[in-house]
Amino acid sequence: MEFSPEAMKEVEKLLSRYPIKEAALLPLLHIAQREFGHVSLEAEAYVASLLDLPAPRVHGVSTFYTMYNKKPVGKYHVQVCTNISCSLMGAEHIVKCLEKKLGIKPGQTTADGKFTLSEVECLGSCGTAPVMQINDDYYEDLTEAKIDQILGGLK
Amino acid sequence: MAEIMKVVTRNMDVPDQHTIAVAMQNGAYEQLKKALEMTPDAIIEEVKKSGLRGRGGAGFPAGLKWSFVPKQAPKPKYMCVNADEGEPGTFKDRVIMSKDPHLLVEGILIACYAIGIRDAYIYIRGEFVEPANILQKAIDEAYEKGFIGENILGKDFTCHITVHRGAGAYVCGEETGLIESLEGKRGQPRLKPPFPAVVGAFQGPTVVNNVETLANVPRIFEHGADWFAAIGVEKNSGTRLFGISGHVNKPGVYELPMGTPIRELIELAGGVRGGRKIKAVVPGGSSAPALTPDQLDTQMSFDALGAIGSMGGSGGVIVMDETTNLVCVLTRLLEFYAHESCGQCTPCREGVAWLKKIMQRIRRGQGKIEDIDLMLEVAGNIMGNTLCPLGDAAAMPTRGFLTKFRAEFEAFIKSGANAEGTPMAGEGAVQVSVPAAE
Amino acid sequence: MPKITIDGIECEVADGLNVIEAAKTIGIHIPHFCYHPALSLVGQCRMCLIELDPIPKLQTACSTFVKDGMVIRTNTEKVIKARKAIMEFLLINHPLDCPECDQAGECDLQNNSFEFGQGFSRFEEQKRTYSRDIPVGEKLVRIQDRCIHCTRCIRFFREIVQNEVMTYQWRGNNTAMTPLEQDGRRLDTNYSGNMHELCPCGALTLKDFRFKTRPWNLANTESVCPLCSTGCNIFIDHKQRKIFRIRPRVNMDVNTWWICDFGRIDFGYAHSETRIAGPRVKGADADWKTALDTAAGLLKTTGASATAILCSADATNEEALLVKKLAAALGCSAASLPAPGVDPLEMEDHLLLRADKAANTQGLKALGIVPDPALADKLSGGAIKTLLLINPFNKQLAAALDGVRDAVAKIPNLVVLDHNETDFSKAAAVVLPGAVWAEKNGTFTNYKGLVQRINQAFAPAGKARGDFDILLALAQGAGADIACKTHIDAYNEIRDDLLKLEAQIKKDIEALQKAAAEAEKA
Ligand SMILES: Cc1cc2nc3c(=O)[nH]c(=O)nc-3n(C[C@H](O)[C@H](O)[C@H](O)COP(=O)(O)O)c2cc1C
Ligand code: SF4
Ligand code: SF4
Ligand code: FES
Ligand code: FES
Repeated sequence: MEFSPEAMKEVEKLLSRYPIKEAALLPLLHIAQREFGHVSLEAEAYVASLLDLPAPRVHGVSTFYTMYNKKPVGKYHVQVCTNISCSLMGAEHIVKCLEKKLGIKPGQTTADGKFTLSEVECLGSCGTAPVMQINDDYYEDLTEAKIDQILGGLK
Repeated sequence: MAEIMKVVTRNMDVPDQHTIAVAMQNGAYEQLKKALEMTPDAIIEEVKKSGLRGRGGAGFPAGLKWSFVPKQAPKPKYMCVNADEGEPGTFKDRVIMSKDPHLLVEGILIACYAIGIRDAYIYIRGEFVEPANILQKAIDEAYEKGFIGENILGKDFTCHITVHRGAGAYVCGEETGLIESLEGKRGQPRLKPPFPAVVGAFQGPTVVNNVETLANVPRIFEHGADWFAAIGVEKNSGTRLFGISGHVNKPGVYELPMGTPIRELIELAGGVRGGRKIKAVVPGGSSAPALTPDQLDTQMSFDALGAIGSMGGSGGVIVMDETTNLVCVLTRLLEFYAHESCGQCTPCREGVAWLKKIMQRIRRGQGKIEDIDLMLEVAGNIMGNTLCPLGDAAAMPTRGFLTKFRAEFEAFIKSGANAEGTPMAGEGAVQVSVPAAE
Repeated sequence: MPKITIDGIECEVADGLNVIEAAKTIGIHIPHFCYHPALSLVGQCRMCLIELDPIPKLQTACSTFVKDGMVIRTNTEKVIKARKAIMEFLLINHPLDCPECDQAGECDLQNNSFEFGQGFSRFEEQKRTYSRDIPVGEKLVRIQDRCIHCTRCIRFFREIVQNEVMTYQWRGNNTAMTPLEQDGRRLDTNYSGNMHELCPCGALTLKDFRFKTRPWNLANTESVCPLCSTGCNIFIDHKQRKIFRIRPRVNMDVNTWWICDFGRIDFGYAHSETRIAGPRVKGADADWKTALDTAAGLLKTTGASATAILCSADATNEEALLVKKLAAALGCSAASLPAPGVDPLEMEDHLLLRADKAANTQGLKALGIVPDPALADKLSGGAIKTLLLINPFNKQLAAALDGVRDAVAKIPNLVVLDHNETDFSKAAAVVLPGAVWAEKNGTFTNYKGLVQRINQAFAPAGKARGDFDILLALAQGAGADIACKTHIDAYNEIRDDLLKLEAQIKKDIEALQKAAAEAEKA
């Protein structure tokens, strides 16, 4: 298990930005997730070795933050906000639509490994509720029709 | 009726304002030049005079905070820009960072110069990938132009700015949780004292400021502290970017003078959808106890909202119409706080999850009338006994809903209805009839 | 020294104390869980909340440090209510399985609950549960359900053991304290056993002690660990002449709060099958009188130059004195053998364990029983015809004897005084069953000269006798006129020598430290 050369360059650059190596841990875990798909125990140990940290400490950190996936997720990670503003605007319905269209419940991944559905906390976009995030992108003011369109566009 | 007052958002509708070329056409970095001609002390004085208060939640005077940082410190000093924006109902910092990142960068630089800081970190919530990219691009451009880096504008002032992404933890918006997280640790808030101004990031004196707070700084130097202080109401100067969401026709971010009555913001936002009646309004992010319809003339200022037992908080206003099921709202709120508790201190780790479980049971239709008093007591046992304010942030709205809307909670419990899996409001939401108050 | 007022009592306390420690000095107990004087301050459990004038919010006593004029209240209604609240919170998810918990009776959670809790629960929801009884390493058992998240375990491994193998998993209400044996880290360090005392509830207990007995049924005898020259202070917890466990006894000059697992767990030889059952003469069981008379007779038969006494450094100072007296009466030498790791100062790890695996090297030295390099040659060359061999079971002496094993076994007049069988006892003409340290009274002198008392927990097993009494009989049998008939008498006789040595060693250590510091600078 190793980072790609490009990722290693990023690591170098990151390390120069902080007075202590440990501070680069969150960014490195992001890179690990990008490179390896999810943050496994091995990935934690690898990142630990890059930063001269004890692997158990890295585990404590990686399990603290919800964005690090401890299990593999689908190619598209569909994350629906169900916090107050979104729920007031029908997030419940959005989740149900997605469940129906994808044939999975929150926390599950489709059999073809394409989609994982999750419910998440407020995405900081409450003015355009209901909102979901697929991988890095936000999709706002969701309606059932819009969801069809969005999912249709994901290959 | 209140009018929008574009101070921070002045250029946000300008196409490509996020690029340095356009931003500079609109005056970006001019105030930095001006500030670098001033002494650091004079800058802090000016900010103090403006009355600028922190927009992150607590409303702490910015100039005063800066002045707490020891001038001579054995360790390097740091600036942490709080762009964690995790408080449900809050979505203004994202707008600033996406639309006018140079305004924030300029504010950061002026603050760093005034305090004597060489390294600033923008701690941005991990989900904000796009805003982080825009911000990074803006920073790269500013480096190229010599506004960031060594000997800025040929002066004896060096400052570096780094974008640091979080990874999904609301508690990292709390200033010491943020610092721990920046250091690569679990985002568990620190015991205070020492306060960050004395011992913060990497053991050095540290200032933590919200994005909007810093975005105001260039404007203070553009128009003068007196001009700024004259906006808003006494001791609550300037404008705020109010984010209004929920059941209004035109949700979004509205910049208004501090102290604007809530009712006027709601009107600006096109009023309540479908012409319905309002049931409750959260005035300052989910941690602020909700207001009843008869409290809507309250001014949106730190002090006025504080005076009626709520708070100005993050400026996130959530409007709930009469179809809203408050049992669902409070349950969801407690699910959020339980999910976000860092878990290090007993009252929050245990108490908030307990409250959540009681509410989930009530929502399932298995509540008892006594549960309400039990919850009030549990919330009271959390209040003031936790290590960081997150415990309070969960307890306050709990007490708020249960006291101000007790009749609805009682009616729901008596009805035996099960609202699990039902919409929180509108069509399909579980409605209970609340007996009119005597 | 700051003057403060606690619950109306004015007192003057040492600088730098926190309110928990300050209150302790005047006998006021402030309950706490996460605070431990050896560990970093985290202020997480919130059990230690107190009122501090004029702050309206309750403050944590653990993180409040005394300042002149401070006024503290620990007994107000507000404090009492807060303690009840915290106890209730800590117990809502706790399994309350005290009847089957090893910690019961010495559990901070149980005790504080009794004293400061409200005695009933208002929690009706489903409790949080984890899988139970997970062994953590060979020595500990973890029951996460009982954990109160004080994080002492995590801080202990990180800060004291300096092997960060315990960590957090997840966050909030789901947080679990997890050992993670990654990148070559093992939970079984030589200090893991300390979690037994450090964990304030029954979440981490000692496998060795599991379901064995209730702590309140045990007698606790103050003693000192005999397994290395550090001399950690311990309690021997025992019942019906059996040791159930060894626990550290706080001594800030020696072991602070800890002991190593070697000292904690390695006491099996006190009750082993190989304990010498009774006195023997020429391989046959004998009564004590016969054995002692025979031994005393043998020791006198071959003349001073062919006679020697060889003694392990596990002898107490008082026993060593008698060895000296016996040697004087016989005109022979009393010595130990040079052995690897006998430098009593040398550390084996960063914390407590020393290379010298005997309890009393320094004490023997003070009394002139020192390693004799010539003795090995005399033994292997067959020059020694009569040998009193004391405690060859001691690992260090056994190692030193390694090269002369066969020669010693062949010595015709071999008298062995020991508690466990060895090749030597099996070959000996006379075997005198002695006592293990738990069965003895006396003193050990540790690596830095500190004279520390060991107390008898129970009488020697079976027919065994105390080494002091055996040596006294031998010396008297050899014709010596001995005034000190008890270990107390003996101690009084050698006290000045021991104290002189202590002062000397202190000086030596200071000189060594100074030299090391200067070398570092250079
Ligand atoms: C649980 C919690 C979450 C917070 N989240 C944020 C946040 O997302 N953004 C923010 O600016 N301040 C947040 N704060 C407030 C910060 O602790 C801090 O007061 C603020 O960043 C200071 O900046 P200011 O003085 O400019 O407002 C939060 C506080 C708490 C207790
Ligand atoms: S109040 Fe909650 S979030 Fe804050 S320190 Fe305590 S457990 Fe963590
Ligand atoms: S296992 Fe014990 S020491 Fe560790 S956190 Fe839990 S209660 Fe504390
Ligand atoms: S509540 Fe969904 S984005 Fe804020
Ligand atoms: S002992 Fe003070 S908070 Fe735990």
